Amino acid sequence: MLMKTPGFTAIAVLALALGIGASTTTFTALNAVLLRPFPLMKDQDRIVYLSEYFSKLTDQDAGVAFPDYLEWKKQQTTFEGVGAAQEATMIVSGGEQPDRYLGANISADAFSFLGVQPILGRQFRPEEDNLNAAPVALIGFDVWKKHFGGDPAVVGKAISINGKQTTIIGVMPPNWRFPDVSDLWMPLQLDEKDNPRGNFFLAGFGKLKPGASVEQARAEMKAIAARIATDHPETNSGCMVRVKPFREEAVKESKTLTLLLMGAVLFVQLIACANVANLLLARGATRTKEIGIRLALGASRGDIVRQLLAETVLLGVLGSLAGLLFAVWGVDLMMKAIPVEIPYWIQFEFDWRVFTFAIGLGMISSLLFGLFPSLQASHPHLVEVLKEGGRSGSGGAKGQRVRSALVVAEVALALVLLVGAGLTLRSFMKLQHTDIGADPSSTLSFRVGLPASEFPDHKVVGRFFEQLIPKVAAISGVESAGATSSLPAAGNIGTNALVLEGEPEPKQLQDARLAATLAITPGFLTTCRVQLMRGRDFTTADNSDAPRVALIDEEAARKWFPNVDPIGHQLRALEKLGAPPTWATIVGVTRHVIYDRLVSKRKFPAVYFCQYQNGENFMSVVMRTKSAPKNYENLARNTVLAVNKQIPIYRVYTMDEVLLHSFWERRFFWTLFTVFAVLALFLASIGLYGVMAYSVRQRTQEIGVRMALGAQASDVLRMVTTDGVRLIGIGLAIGLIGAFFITRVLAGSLEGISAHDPLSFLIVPLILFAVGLLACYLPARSAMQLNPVEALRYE
Amino acid sequence: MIKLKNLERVYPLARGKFFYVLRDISLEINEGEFVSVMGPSGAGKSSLLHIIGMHDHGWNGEYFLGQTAVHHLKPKERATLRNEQIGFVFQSYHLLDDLTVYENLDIPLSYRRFSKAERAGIVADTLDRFNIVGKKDLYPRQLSGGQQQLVGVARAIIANPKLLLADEPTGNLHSSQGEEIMELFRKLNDEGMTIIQVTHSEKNAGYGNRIIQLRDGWVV
Repeated sequence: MLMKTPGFTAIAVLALALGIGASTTTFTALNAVLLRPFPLMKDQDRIVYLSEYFSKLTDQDAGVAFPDYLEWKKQQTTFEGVGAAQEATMIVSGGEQPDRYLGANISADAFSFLGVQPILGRQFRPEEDNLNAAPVALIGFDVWKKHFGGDPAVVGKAISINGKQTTIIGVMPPNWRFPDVSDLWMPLQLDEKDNPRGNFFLAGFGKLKPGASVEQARAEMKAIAARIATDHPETNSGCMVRVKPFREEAVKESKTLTLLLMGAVLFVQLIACANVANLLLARGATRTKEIGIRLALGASRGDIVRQLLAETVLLGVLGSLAGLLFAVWGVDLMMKAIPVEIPYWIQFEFDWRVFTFAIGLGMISSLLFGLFPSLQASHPHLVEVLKEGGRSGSGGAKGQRVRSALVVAEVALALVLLVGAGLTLRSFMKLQHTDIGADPSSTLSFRVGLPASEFPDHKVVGRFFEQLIPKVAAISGVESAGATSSLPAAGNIGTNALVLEGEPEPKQLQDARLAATLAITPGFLTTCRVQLMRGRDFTTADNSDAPRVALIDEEAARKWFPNVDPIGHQLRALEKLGAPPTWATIVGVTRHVIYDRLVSKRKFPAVYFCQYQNGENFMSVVMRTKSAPKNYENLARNTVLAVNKQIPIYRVYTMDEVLLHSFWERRFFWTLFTVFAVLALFLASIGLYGVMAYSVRQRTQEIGVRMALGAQASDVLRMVTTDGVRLIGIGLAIGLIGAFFITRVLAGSLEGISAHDPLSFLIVPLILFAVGLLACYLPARSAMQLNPVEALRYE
Repeated sequence: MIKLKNLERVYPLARGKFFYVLRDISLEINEGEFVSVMGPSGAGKSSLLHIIGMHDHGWNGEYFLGQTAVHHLKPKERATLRNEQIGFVFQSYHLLDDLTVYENLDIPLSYRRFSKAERAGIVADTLDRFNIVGKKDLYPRQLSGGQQQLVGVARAIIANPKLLLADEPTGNLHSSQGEEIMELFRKLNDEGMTIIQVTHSEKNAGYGNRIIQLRDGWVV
């Protein structure tokens, strides 16, 4: 029967395919984030995340201090292994041009207890964690292929990593970039003297022994943390250990958004189902006579329902197959919309779960949209339909009521989604227009990393930047240039404990003044147009031979110097234990700049030290350009190579891009939400149009009679649109109530507006009303153009 | 009252051909006449009635209703003129199924912008006049064919038209019900209403005072 009505079949399959396609696209993301196992990792339900945190800041994990990690390894009994890693830029040189990779220094036994073996060579040996062990590296599959051309004899070769001759001991399998996007791995080889307690910079993880529970591990780690705090109260008082399943930590940022998207897209699927149910009801009405004859010939109602349901299940299967095709495009588009490198374990693949979901959704949907129309069509009024010339039927008043109710439901569901999209759009716009305290326009930034082996102290590092910055500023078309250890809104800002002149050193780390600290060169404030409110900027005279200087922002000035001029006062970062204090004199006060990602709620005062005195090895250079900043990428690269031909540049972005990256998840979420909402609006409008067009077709004769009795075009228009407007009105009312409650789940993802933002709740229904009115107007217009003579003949 | 001159109704066919439904119709109908249009199926009777009733605008020629040259009027002006002067009775009644007898009678008045109070008064008078007060809350399906056509006639004349057009008004009725309707037409005609009916029945044509015969679109 579906072949005999190709128009109906095509529209029904298309509506289903749109819904199933969007749902499957989202499910592919949900599957990648929440369901798919981590590639290659064995016994992953026993892998846990470990981090230290302070009881005063329970929502912020500090990371793991190296000495504490060593204590854990010694004292614990519930873990098969405890590991730590630190991501690091690794510059592989020796070729024509240096290559920069993101790598990780990782516990030598980590890959063993994670259950991952190299495809070539061997694992790290435990003793290779020792500080004096020979430098060795495992390389990633892509590095092996791209940098070494897949050479099977790569094991045993020596390469220069960050200026240090290092022996390659093995090649890791494809799809292994633990912990996130690493391509090279070296053992931790950390010195406890350089990394004392109180420096929480490692990412911790462990594998529970078989049979050990997370609760047992928590209890044990709590006891160990308490012992460390007793022995080292100055750094570890109030310091606790968080133990939780590895995936739980890995998905903490994306879980809510992914589930919200899944919920939103299921709304779209429900609307698609309502549309198909409406089509089936209308089609069932036109088949009344056929069904009547079947019943008269001896078919039972069950036979008829089975026959009709078989057709709807077939529709569901066709919808699933076409939906999968849409999902292939959808996933492709979704991946293109992600502007950053995502962790290696998030793989958008069409595995058995995705196929099962798509086919299952098609099946469940076919029952959802098919059952009532089948039951409705299976009991026609036999005498009526079998009369000679009997009408094909309209499905009766009940059928009409159900069709209207479905349209009301579609409008209500679409409104909830559209209000959600409106809220996320407003939130997105608020974020986009956040005043970050700097001007990101017409600026290009790039990262420069100086290997510690070649740039061992801050004097050498300082000299490099003293040479580089004037050269970058001298590029034709560049207005000014400067460098910073952290870019505004980029989120890679560190916090440090600080001591003000005349204050006693805090006895415990948790009581210290915390501030965002960064190193900048002269020219950075000018280039980023950060307002200097008092005092002076750094100059080239503030070099390693000059007295140390610092700038603070207005937040620091307000908090720490409420009644005095901060200029001339001194401060220092809380140094490693035993290190001589290095005081810096405050020479200026700047406007507050947001260095955290815009979605972060943290607000710390900022302290700037001069790079020429501080010597950070990894810096972002920023240049303000007179024309499109992207055009300056090659000039910048060549300028850096001219200063040192072993130094590559990476993360080349305009500052506008950095800003967008700072809330890309929200933007991504908003984009998908909006796509789904527009899809919902489209489907609901089509549904409304379908019902109104069907109603006009059913009422053709009535309209003809009314016109013959004196109704004018305006009367017909009013008659048809009044019915539609009533349905839209009821749908909007129900949708608004639903949206009022349902949008609460969005509250955590919104910035600067409430989940009941009046503007979104006012404008969105108006848009939906206008679109709905158009959907009603089109059938009404054709009704107005009816020829009454033809209409009166219509049967 | 009605003057048609060289009126033609043509439907285009495939390959540039035409089908003439009415050809060169010229006739006059005076006020107060009761005219029956007769002829075999496909002769163009109903088409002529719909043109006179201004439901169909796709014709050529001249059509005067009283002093008004209908052929010069725009569709909207024709609709206004029709609402003022013409009532229409259909063979299959065309009562609206979801409306009661009362509501069916109210429709033509609502389209002529009568006030609600005026409409209530006129509907009440008409129910009384046609002796169907007791049926005012019934739906069409609850009435016999004769009763439905009675309501159809009542609905056609409720706005007090000067001209009543009836397309085979007794075609779906048995003979006694048909006679009742024809008697009603005779009474309306006696009261001064001009009536044009299409009929196949010689007997029904006998109620009128003139017969126009159509064959293949021509007046014969």
